[in-house]
Amino acid sequence: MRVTAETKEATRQAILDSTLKLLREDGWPNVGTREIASEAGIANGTLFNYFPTKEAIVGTLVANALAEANEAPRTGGVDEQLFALIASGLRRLRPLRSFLPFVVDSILAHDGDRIRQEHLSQVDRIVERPLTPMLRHLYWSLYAGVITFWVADPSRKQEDTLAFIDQSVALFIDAIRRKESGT
Amino acid sequence: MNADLAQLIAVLPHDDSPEQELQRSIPTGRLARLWTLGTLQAQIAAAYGAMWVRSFFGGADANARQLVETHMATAMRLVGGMLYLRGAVMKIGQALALYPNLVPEEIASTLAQLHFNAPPMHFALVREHLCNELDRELGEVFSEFDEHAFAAASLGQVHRARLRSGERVAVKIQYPGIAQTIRSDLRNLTAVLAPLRFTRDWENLSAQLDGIRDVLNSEVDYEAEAKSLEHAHSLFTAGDGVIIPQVFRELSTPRVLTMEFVDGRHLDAWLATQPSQSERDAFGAKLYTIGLRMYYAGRCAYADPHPGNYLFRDDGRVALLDFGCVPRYDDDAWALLSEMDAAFYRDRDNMRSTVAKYCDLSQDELRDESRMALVEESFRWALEPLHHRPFDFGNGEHLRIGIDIMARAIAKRYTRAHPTQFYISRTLLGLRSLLYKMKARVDVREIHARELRATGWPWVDEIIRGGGQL
Ligand SMILES: Nc1ncnc2c1ncn2[C@@H]1O[C@H](COP(=O)(O)OP(=O)(O)OP(=O)(O)O)[C@@H](O)[C@H]1O
Ligand SMILES: [Mg+2]
Repeated sequence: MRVTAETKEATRQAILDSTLKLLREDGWPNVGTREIASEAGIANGTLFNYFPTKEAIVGTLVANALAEANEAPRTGGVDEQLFALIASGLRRLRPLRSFLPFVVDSILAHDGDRIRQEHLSQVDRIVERPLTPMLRHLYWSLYAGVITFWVADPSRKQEDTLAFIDQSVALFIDAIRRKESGT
Repeated sequence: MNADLAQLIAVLPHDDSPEQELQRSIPTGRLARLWTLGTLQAQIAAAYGAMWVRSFFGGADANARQLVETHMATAMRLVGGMLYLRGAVMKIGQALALYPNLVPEEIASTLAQLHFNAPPMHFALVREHLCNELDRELGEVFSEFDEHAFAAASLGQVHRARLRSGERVAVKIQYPGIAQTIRSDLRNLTAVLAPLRFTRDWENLSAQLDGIRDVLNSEVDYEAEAKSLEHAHSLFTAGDGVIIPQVFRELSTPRVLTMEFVDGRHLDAWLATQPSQSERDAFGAKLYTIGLRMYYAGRCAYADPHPGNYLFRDDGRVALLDFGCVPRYDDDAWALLSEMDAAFYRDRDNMRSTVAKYCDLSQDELRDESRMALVEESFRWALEPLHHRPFDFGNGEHLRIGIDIMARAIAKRYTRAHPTQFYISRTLLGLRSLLYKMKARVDVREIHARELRATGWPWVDEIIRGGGQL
């Protein structure tokens, strides 16, 4: 049993690695599940035991990258910590940036559950209070806005995204304050 | 409206929020409003609008969606406007604060203070931005980096740090994205002025505006500033008692300027030490020398003679900090300016024709006696300090007359001028305003004679030897 679980995990990882490699080399439109399976050295049908679609594979790559960012140590005020959480996530996502435009919507809207839950639990920890569903939604929309903006940000070194994160975090913290003071 | 929507709107900033109040109370007018039109905010609003509507109100009716979009856009304008307004407000504030008699005292002092009031970037943002700009982790470059800025810059802030090689440096960091915003807003300037297009002065006015735009554009580019710093650095020697910070080019980018850290006091702090008259005079002479050296030897203008840009040091040296606004003259402009100088100091008979050429005046304008009288008056004003040895700038009368001449020219709409003129007037008036605040007495004649020699113009020696008008 143990061996099988390990093998399974290794196959899964091979699929992820192959996808990343092919997408970076050939670009989104030129890579299909067939190419990925062959690069990973497995049968086409086997791949579907692991992932239903190419989008799902990328969704997992994104979730893994963001999970690493969640572990980064943070210091400073709430605004700084939120900023660092988001910015270090983007840093991890950088290798995937060129093909994220093709999947970002579906990742954030449909396949985002794991990403969303893990990220929001970090936010809860940083703001040190449970957020109302409304504030959670506000945060997630801002966050999704940042990612959507970043994947297509044409500015030099994506500097506009930094301004965008800074302003979004300020907006969110302001919303918490308003909510608490009841205005 | 559904309950969720009401709740959502409640937590977003409103039009009547205190931030907006703050914005309204700053008297900046049209130019500042223009700045809020930045493209980044528009992009942000669009990105958010789409996200919101799709993800949360997919099922809501069209009116509800519309409302959310409107509120989102308002919120983004507010957030964006506050940050982006900052640079513009401070630039305008400093410019006006230099002309104490043109604006009421309260406004001038409020505006002058804005200089030190920029909202900060926190360290998480600074670190991320710097790593991107320098393509390295901070620890690879700096052995110490102060997380808190020690000074505000108009478009960002300045941090103290120490390089791994040991030097103390000041790192000036621009708020990300602001350069592009200002650039695109400057492009809009022409559109705003479009109604003037059919007036006779339009061509001349737009040439002047292009000149101003060029300088503002280079003002947001710290790489251009680094070049100006190096250029200025090369113009001074140790004997001048003037410090121009050394630039670390490999640690500078269009958004980051790393330079030697210089100690010293700003004008107000220095004045608070109640310096003696001879100390005031010595610093005054250095400031005057800086202005003329940069002009005659450097063919450029130190066109932002704002008090925050000078440091007065206990060792008697003065440090010059800010090289964002240093227009340089190409050969054509310099040829024209040399002719102006010759007319100014020597061929007063040629003055009219030279001024006509420089300001692109028509025959009618040349025959307008009250106009030419004002030109004559402004020349006399500019030269007046040469006739007293030393000249006492602490007497406010001289500055008042200069400002009065400028105000009359504006009131009479004598706006035709060469593109170089705006910054030359600003340099001259700014420097004299500073010397007035310092209450300095300066032997201007001696400094002119010395600095003019650097030009190599044949008439200079002649005049100095012959004891001519100079
Ligand atoms: N090399 C330096 N050494 C010490 N202090 C410095 C140095 N450079 C800048 N500063 C400090 O930072 C302040 C702002 O710098 P600087 O004038 O260059 O910014 P700026 O963006 O041009 O701002 P502004 O347009 O408002 O003048 C200075 O007034 C000074 O206090
Ligand atoms: Mg300055």
